[in-house]
Amino acid sequence: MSETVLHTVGLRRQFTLPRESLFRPPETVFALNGVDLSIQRGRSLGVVGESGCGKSTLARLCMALDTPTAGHVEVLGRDLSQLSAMELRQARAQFQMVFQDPYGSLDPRHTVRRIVGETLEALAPRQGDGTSGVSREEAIGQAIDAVGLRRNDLDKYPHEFSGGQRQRIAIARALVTRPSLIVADEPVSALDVSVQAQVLNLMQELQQDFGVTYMLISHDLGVVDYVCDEVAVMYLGRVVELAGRAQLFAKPCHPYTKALFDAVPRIGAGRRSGADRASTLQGSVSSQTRQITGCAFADRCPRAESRCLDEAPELRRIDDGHMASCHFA
Amino acid sequence: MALLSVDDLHVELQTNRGMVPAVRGVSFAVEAGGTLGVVGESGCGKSITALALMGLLPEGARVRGRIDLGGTDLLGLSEDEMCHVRGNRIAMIFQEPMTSLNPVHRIGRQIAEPLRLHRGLRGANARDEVLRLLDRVGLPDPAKRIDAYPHQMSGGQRQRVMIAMALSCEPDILLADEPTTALDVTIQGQILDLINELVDDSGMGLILISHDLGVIGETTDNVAVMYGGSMVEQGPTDSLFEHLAHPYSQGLFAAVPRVGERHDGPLHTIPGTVPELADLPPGCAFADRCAKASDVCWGPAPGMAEVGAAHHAACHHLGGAV
Repeated sequence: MSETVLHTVGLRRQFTLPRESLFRPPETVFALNGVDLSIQRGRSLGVVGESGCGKSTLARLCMALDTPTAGHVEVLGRDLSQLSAMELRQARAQFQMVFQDPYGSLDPRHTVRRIVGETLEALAPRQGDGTSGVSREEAIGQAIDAVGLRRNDLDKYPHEFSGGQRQRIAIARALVTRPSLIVADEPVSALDVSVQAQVLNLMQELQQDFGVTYMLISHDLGVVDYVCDEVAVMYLGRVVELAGRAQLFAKPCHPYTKALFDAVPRIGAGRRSGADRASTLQGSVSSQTRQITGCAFADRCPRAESRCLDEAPELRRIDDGHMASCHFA
Repeated sequence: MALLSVDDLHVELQTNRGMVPAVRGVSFAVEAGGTLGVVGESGCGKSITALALMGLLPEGARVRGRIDLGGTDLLGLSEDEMCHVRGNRIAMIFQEPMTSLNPVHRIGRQIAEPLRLHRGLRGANARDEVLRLLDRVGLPDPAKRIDAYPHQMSGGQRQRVMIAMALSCEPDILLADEPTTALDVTIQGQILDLINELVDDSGMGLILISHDLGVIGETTDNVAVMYGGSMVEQGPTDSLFEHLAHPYSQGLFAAVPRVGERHDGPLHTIPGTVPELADLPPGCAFADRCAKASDVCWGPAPGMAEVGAAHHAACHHLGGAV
């Protein structure tokens, strides 16, 4: 039953910055520093972290939109870096992506039919092929039904839709090839609260109906808590804690995860007084252009000791299905 | 007498579909040292209300009503007179610290600008005052950072610079329009702490605009919920969040996924989408999305009615809603 849909092994990605001086070597951004994750079929993994933690780089690598500096990505057991361009193109039917900005990710000059159908066109060039005998039109129709739009919307253009409806179109486009894996990078952060709930509910329904596996990238812990089975917390290109949703939210082990939870403003908690303020995490994420020897979080961590500066903590097992990388966890 | 009182404010904006009502009869008051949160989704008129207070509405906009700041009606002032109020007695922090600072000037010079303009400080005096302000907003190593350009700072640091600038003339009212939306959660916490601390220390009034109910809850004593250009509910933050009276507030509140409060069913949703201001329905603006809507809702818009101590809501079906 449990089949691994996505598996990443020691994933690293470094970007070289433009040279700033003739006399110094160009600087390097260490965006991902060894990420090992896997997602079983029909499950969903949430990836949380602040900007610059490498979550979007991770998404791009998993979608083979970028190549890792080291390590590799396996989708359904196939190593994406070993595939030829043609094979990769066909394999893309198995993994699709939903982007953050529903205004920028849909071509304004194409009809919905063309936007949704383009995926089929590109991935399964022969008519009817790859959609198990159903005609292309029917596949597009089914995808548009599944996301709760009407079939006579197919001839409209993106500007005729609201933000939430556009995000539905983007999901239909990802769904039309019946992929095993959908990676959604901040799918609801551009939407209003009342509309956000509609899209989140839709994502859950689709998972039940089609058995899709999700990797959901979000900075919003509430969204991740609602949609995901497992959660990975990232900090400066590393996974610092990985656990089942209930476990993680009940008992966060890594000091960064705890700080992240404490920082989320709670409704009905009353106005923050001086005592509450003391718990706020100080400082900001340190530079990504430095190779860090010890724990990446040590400079902001309230518990840091000299050991944390010298020795990088391994991601180790704390409890059943609960991993954290902290010397004190 | 409240420090700032806004009475029946109407704003119409010029669009390519003619004049469109963006704010329709908004009234509220802020005491010295008081904090008011304004919540709502995009297009509900919350930012336009803020711009009206600052006298920064886009060209061609029409304003009616009264904005009373310490006995002066701001709407009656000329542009020259308004220049003495803006930045001096009312200051504003904008959402995007990236675009609201001038990229070609050092931050020290940008913070000194209101000091020169409103307080007549020059040279070393101005510089000392800028250093004091930067220190006050918790920017590390102000003596060094005063000569930095905005691009050399992080988002949180830039927002601190914006706050220093807003504070420079010790305003009576600080308007913050989504001050933390562009920031990461841990940085958001730091900025909210800073704003809370400044309000406690200086006794200025704060109007905080946000779509995030958590941010509002942790920062303000009073809250107003806006929808379709009007206020639909208003009251003390704690009691309002405890007893949401208006169906829109209830829907908005239930639609937010919250950490550690997962229910097994689907999230509550409000059907439909936020209306375009030009297409607002005649009666209650929320009627077409409201589960409780009946014939009476399509008639005249409901007025504010008291539902608790200092807690008001505008709905025809309050009896059944509470």
